[in-house]
Amino acid sequence: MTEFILTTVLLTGKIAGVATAIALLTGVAAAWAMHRCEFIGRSLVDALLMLPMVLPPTVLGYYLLTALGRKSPLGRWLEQTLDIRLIFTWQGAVIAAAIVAFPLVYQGARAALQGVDPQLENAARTLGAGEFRVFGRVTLPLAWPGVLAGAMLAFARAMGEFGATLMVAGSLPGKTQTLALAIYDSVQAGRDAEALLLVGITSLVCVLILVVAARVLRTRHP
Amino acid sequence: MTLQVDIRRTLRSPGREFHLNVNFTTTTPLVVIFGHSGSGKSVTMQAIAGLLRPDNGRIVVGGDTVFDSSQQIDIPARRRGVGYVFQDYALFPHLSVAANVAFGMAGDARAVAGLLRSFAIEELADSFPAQLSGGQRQRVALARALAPRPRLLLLDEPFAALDPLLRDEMRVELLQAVQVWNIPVVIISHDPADADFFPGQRVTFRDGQIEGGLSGDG
Repeated sequence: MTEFILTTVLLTGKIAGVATAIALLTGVAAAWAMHRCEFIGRSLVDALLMLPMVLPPTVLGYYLLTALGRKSPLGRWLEQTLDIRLIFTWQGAVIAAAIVAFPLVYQGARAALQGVDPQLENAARTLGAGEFRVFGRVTLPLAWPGVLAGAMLAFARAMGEFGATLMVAGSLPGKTQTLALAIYDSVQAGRDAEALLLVGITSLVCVLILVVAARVLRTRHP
Repeated sequence: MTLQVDIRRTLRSPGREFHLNVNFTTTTPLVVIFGHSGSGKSVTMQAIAGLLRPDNGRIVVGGDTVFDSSQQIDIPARRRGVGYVFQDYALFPHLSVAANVAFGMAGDARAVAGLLRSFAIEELADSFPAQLSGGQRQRVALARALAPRPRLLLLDEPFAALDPLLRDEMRVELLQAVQVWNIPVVIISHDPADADFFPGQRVTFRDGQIEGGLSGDG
């Protein structure tokens, strides 16, 4: 049992970690683009980017299956040209978790970027900085606590992802079965001690993440 | 060096519309733009620095056209060579004094140290802006703005954030720095004491327009 639990915990860490990294990069980039650009239909794009947070995970899973499955042109191209299979693989679970976690990074980054004094960005411009340098040296470092807190919540969300992951990647022990899926499996099979342990580990990690995230948000520069 | 400004800009906020329409040419190295808050001084300064785009008009800094709506010229702020000292100084709170001053500087650590020394802030090199007094902040802001060697320096209400006793001292200090660096300066202020203290041309703003032509010993 210990080996099974260790494998599941490591697999969950891997899937949630990679998914969070993807959500962090895309979420910050999207937040920056939305922060800097004014265009018609901006509020609609904003709503679409937040959609994975409110949409039932099974609906997302359905979309992903349709978009990435063997029957879709994209899925066929990925499999035949790049030899990438996303359905029933841990990479598929990463995609599902990343999409579900994305709005948390996006939302956190958006609020954090808006909280940066535009005058500081202007000061950097008058000192000769181009837009990338303004972002890298002024905006992002000042927004970092909010971005990091968003990323931590995203990790917790990715770790707990169930519905979309189940539809896209299934629940294959040691391959795609994360903690959340393993708990369901253990309870169904009546392995109560195992379920209790998995639930305990998951709860502990989530509480830890919330405590650290709250502390990160309170960080102020000297 | 002369600065030519001839710009128009309409700013809209809910329930209020502000029209800026100013045209002036500087005749002295030091110019004080004087006027009440809300008279368009800051908007004009931001337009000169390239932080705000006029609806139309023309801005020429020392012979270089940095903005001309009829020729579609709009040089970005980073390439205008216009230094800016913001009203609240806008020091980067996450960077040390040395890193603030070095931000726009091409030189090495020794050049930064030399600059810090000339503004008597070398012992503050590792401090952060939140730890500084008002006068120290102003010195850091001035050193940072001068570090990239701009051809024109704009100061937005440089003494408004200071307590009255310190103001007299910092006026003298600023005037000395300007003379040492030999750089043309535009100061905007709503404080008649600034207009009285600094020599040179005075441009008075009222409600987005220039009042009563130009005055001063230009």
